[in-house]
Amino acid sequence: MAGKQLKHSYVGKPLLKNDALALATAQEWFTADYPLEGALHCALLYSPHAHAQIRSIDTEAALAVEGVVDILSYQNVSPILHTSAGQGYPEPSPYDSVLFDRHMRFVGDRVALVAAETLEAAREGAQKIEVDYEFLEPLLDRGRAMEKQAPKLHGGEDHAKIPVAYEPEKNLAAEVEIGFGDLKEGFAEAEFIEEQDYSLPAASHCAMEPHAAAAYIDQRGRLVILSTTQVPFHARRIVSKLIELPLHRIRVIKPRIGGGFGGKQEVILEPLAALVTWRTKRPARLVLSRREVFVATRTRHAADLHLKTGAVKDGRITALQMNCLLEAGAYGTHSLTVLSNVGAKVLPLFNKIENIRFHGRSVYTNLPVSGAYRGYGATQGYFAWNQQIDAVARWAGQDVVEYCKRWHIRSGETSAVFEALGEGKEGVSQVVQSCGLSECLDRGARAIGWAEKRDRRIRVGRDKVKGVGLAVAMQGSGIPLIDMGAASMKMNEDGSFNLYVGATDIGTGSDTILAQIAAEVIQVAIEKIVVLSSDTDLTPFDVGAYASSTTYVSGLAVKTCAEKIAAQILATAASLLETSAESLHLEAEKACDKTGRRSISFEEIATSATYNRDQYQIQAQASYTCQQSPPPFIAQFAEVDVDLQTGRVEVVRFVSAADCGQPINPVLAEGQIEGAVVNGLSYALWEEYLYDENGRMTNPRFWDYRIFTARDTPELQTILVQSVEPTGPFGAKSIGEVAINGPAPAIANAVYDAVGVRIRDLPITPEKVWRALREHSGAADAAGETDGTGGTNRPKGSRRS
Amino acid sequence: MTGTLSINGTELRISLRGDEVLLDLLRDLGYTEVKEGCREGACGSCLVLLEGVLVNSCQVLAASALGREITTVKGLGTFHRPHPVQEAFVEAGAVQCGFCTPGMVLATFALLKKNPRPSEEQIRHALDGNLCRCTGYVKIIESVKLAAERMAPDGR
Amino acid sequence: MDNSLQRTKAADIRPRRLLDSLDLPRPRTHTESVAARKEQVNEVAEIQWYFPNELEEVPDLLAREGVIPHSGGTGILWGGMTRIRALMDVSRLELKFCRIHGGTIDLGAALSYSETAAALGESGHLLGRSLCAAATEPLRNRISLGGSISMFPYWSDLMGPLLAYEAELSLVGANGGARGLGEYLQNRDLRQNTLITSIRLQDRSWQGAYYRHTRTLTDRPAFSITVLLRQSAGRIEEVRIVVVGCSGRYKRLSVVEKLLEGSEVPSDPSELLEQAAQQLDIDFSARMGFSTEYLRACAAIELKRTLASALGSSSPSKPGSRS
Repeated sequence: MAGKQLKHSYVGKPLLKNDALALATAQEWFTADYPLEGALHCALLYSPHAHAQIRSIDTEAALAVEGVVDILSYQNVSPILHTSAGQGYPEPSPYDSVLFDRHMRFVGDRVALVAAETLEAAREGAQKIEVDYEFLEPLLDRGRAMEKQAPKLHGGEDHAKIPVAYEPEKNLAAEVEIGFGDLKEGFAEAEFIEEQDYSLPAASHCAMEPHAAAAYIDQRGRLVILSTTQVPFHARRIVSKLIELPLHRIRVIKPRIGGGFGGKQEVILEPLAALVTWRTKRPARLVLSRREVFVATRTRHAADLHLKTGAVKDGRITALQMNCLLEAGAYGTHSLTVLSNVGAKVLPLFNKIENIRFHGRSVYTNLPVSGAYRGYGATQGYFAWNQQIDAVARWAGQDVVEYCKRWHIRSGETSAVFEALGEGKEGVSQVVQSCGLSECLDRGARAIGWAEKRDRRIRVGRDKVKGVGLAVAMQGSGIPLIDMGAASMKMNEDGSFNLYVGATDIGTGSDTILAQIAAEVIQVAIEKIVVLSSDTDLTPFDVGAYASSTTYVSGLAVKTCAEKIAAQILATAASLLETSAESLHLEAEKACDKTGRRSISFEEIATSATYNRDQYQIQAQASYTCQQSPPPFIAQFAEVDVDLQTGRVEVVRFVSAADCGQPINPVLAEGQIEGAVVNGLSYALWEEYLYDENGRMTNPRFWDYRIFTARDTPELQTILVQSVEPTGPFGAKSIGEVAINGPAPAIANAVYDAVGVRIRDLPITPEKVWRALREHSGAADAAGETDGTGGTNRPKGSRRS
Repeated sequence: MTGTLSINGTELRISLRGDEVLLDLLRDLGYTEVKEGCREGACGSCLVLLEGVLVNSCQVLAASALGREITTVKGLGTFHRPHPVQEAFVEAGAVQCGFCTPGMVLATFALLKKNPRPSEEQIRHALDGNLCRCTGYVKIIESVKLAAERMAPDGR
Repeated sequence: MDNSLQRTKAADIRPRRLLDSLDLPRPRTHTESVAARKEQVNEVAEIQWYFPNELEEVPDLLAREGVIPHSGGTGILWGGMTRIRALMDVSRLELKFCRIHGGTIDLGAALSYSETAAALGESGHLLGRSLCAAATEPLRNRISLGGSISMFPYWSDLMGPLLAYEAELSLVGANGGARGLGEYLQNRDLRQNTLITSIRLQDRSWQGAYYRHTRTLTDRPAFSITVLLRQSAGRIEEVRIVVVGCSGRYKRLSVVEKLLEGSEVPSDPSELLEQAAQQLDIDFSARMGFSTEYLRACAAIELKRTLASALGSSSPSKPGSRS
């Protein structure tokens, strides 16, 4: 069902985010802001070599620095194998890390930690640690990682926790292969074959708040951790394992977090802060610098993709082969699941293709570690796939918007890929039950002016040509049968409620939308719902903020819990009104009968239940594990002006039309889309990790790693197409990730529309376009140009003053 | 060395190091609303008003601010008495993670003081030192427009 | 673990300001890495600050060992603080002024980019326009004219216009008096123990345009092109073209200027501009992801465009605009 909007009182409304004022007035604290009396400051010492073995560490001079209290290294910390990935247990990422190794596997790998009274003393201590390295040959080319003579990064006791392909002796961190039908036959039937290589670099999340963790021991001798985590419960489990402290003696609290985008879906700093505190019995805080965030946390997986698509005259795709090589970097966190997602989130979108093969590998290299990053493999896959589709549609003489409308998966349909490819293991079969993608395509195309601009190569001024491009994508809503969220609620005597959720608000506003869901069930204003989230002592479990799971999975847990609360309220009201619960309904903080004449307020009900009669605490809890993962869909359109002389690509307008079911809060849903789009635009045009010949990142600063400011951002339009997801809370699906998938391929397709060259490796820099134009010197002078209004337009990035 | 600083109207006598940067000094004194995002002068998380002028506190040597007036976001408004700019940010849905918000609020305040009726272009230009990765800037620009509409011509 | 370690007060510790360990240069061998670490740690005394109230105090202060002028401080922080011994803050010397008299503009060296642009009227004057496009708002509020001239990074948005205007500097200290900007830049000795107090421009009714070659808009420029010209009766009377960021850090395109001066300006000047671009002889280092070849090609293209813009400029658009 598309384009339908259900009527509610609290859900579907742009209610104000319940922490917005506290954040705008800086009333709220982030991890680095919490006052911690006498806290030790920590500094990390990193390997300056991409590949080395530590022969010895001498900390004598470092310990002599005034103020230094403790130093951690392989010498005094148990080498417990684990993965830092914030995933459910048993994690689908290999256990290939220890806290302090002797084997250094990238420039930025951890050598030692110094805890001191001041940050300066800690840093001075770190630099006085004398390390004797044995230099090893580094592996810096992912294309050569599996060659026999390539340097090996792992082996020994490294292992996969679940039965999956893992061959560290070949530098293979993960491998996935699925196939249906007969590829050979499919290509034989094809009248047109598009076979191309695509490539994407590593990228940084650039959350404005750097990673940080603090730890202290409370009055009962328990270890309390505050950190910038998207995964508090996974953090608790992993810290328990690594510092060998029983889980029940650890509490993890997530305060306000300044953005995550996947970069904080890791357990990196928590065990370190915990260890310092546990050893010294003093509070400790570790806050990373921006440079450390770039180098020593996590990145998007760099990827090489090879796609081969065969089609026949009417446009039907007869065969699709997708090969993918992901760069895990030094450790394999998320490398299996991101790899699986490249296929799992891309291939089902055109579900009528009968002959498919997906084969992917993640390999180790001596470079910074890749991990979870919004989009999670789908971004990489869609960059390649959307360009293939654009090429096929053009060859078939069809408009790509109509082409996508014809071939995309529909409500009521399934794809064999759902079952074949999960995240790391087999997936779960599902039937799509809501899909508004066709409407997304229509409305988005109208908004960008597709018909007026596509294939026209409208001239803009003397030297620029206009083009428009499309990208479509789907994602998921949680990981079926794996992701679990839970909620509990209690009612207070004034008719208000406390809602406890494990779900992790990292700036997304999940605290607010979960309150909206509860409010809708119970019919109470959200100001009367006090939300407490992500405290492992006080809130029930939730996997955390990833896989676009919060609205759908945690939302359904909240809905179920709220329904139980509603039932209790009705029962008590019925008793007080001496009628049946069935004859009453909840409305505007009251229980009323059908006529509306008899009613009793929540306050009266709760006061009675708490103090007066048949006293009991109105309270409930519920858990939810999603059985399926209903995909949100998106159609994204880029309008670009390409400078024929310099190759500079200016994105003039960008339209996103998204189907996330019934958005619980349209403003927050738009906010997710808009943020993801601008991130995607930066990544498409400027972002990349650069390394020198020794594997050292050369641009770990905003000075050199450029992301968009308000001055760079084009006109953005966001359209929410409303379908109704029957399995979702009030018809909702999730929306956190999908919008980051479209910008890069939409821009690449738009550039081709404008000037006839395809850039298949990101970022799409002016120089790449310039070189491509020179190589295809005829392409830019394509026939049929229309003179645009031109005249006053100026090339972007080069302000003519 | 020692000297006085006026922060949000309160005069403080402090001791500081000659190479200390204003950001660190402010945070050490408890003004944690001034955030560290990059220490390069690129992200704007650390913005303060120095004698009413918007600056990156990570790029100001604290000693050069002695005897001067500093305003942090808490000098503009508090939770219980928010500034119209802060209210506008809340209402326009411009606050997601909130880490960039103090800097954005100060930049907006500084802009509207100079130019009470800025064009969209001028807004983007005035906020070009404030990075945000959550919002895509869309609702932030809307909230600046909303704040401009609401505030008296001479700002507040 | 010995918990009885005494708590040391922050004020008692005097380490140098250290960057995180990722800043360390990468040593080539393990032995060198051990040796490199030993060298890096050295004690640095507290930085001494001076706050002179009168210009008369300046020469003596600057004559002392290691005293460097501080105005905005962004350049000092950028260069790293480790070798700084003493700073002389100029904020009490009243060097924030803009005096326009006749055709002469005198700018106090402590003016920030923003203050300069505001004083000159942002959209009217080429220098105001170039400074408005530079960096970001809070940095424009802090980068000072004097600081920027004395540091002169390749990415300066200030230098092109100042060189095109053939600015004159007033200096105080070991090398007092008035000096041409070009002379100041060529002669390193002039920067020692010397403070720039003001910058003088002779402002005639120039037409002008400014181009900066960046990645994103708030980026530093890989290079910039400044054009000033005067036309009369359909001819170019005088033209000045400065490229900053090329090899040698900057270049005045006198050959191109000579070709253009005296030329008639047709209604479609493309051919003339093409000829001008042919005379362009300039080189660049690869930087910011741009290759030498590409930068050279862009310089030629943008030279033509900047000239065209200057020729057409009567009421030029505001920098940062999209029109």
